[in-house]
Amino acid sequence: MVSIKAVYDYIYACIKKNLPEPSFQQIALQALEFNASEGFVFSKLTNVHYEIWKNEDAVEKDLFKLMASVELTILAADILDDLQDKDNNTAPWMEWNYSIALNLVPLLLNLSKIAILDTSLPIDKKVMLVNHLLEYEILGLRGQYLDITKKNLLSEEEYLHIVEKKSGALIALACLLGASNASNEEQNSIKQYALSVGCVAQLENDLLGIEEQQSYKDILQRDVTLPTIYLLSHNNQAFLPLKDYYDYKIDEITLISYLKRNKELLKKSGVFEYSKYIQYKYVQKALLNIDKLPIIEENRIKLKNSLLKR
Amino acid sequence: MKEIFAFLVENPEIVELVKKGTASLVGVSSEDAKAIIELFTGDNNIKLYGYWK
Repeated sequence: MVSIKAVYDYIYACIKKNLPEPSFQQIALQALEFNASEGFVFSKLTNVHYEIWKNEDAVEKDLFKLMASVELTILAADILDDLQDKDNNTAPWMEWNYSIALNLVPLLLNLSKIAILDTSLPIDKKVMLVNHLLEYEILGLRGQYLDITKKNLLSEEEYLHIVEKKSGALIALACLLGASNASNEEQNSIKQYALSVGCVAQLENDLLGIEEQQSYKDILQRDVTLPTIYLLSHNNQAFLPLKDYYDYKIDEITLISYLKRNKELLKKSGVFEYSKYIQYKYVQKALLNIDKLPIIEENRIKLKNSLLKR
Repeated sequence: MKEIFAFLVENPEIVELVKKGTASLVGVSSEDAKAIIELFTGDNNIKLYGYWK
């Protein structure tokens, strides 16, 4: 396995080389530090896929560059998402001037391509990998657009399609950059399970967003997620204040007070069980696609553990 | 499906009956019913979570 330090060092050097302006370089490195502190989890998937599909021509020394490319893309996506959603106060870019933070996003996306071009892989392989990057960046950005423009009347199916694009695209990218030696059919299965895993992850986040410990974050922002769609379509009259809040008929203080007086309301709605059931369906879908792959059992278990096991 | 969840959470005794096999969930496959009951009883061994944010 490639060390996280090798990935970090490469991105660090890449920023130093391409951003000579000290102040710009400083904020880019600050962003890198923050991303690294979260463990570079996406590129670990790249590593696992690379190990499973490597062949005799594989260039081991290029792997950390592929992993760096993934992490640069993830960092750009994180910054963009936080700037648009304004819901992550712990990230350093939320304290920067908005325009400067925004300027870093396309720059990081370009560095992610440079990292691939910097490998010693054959030119056709580089073209294929850059194509993967472009395809899933575009898919992710389309998902992001749909996410920020979604309306309250969204159906559950429409919401899950958005999640597949927004969250699944980045996981698909991380997997496919590692599995460049996989056949087209295998890559299609990889894409399918990656999109499912993205949904499992997003639904986990969605559940956190309605919990009291997170100050009912998604509800108060009138966000549309799988749990809020469930709650807003609930027949019980007890959910009327929630609907009224989404319709701007009552204010935030009134709703918080209502939720605090009725602490069991969400717990007794079935929303947690229902969301976990939908997660379960996506897990089953992912497992089905993993089981389709013509790989040895040891690698299949490795894949399942890296993608789905807690 | 949402209605089934809203119903089961308000009628936990039905969950027990389905678990014992003396009641069934209409329109739900046996595999899905098993998963649903495990979610309600908390004794599921389904790995639901990814690492991903």
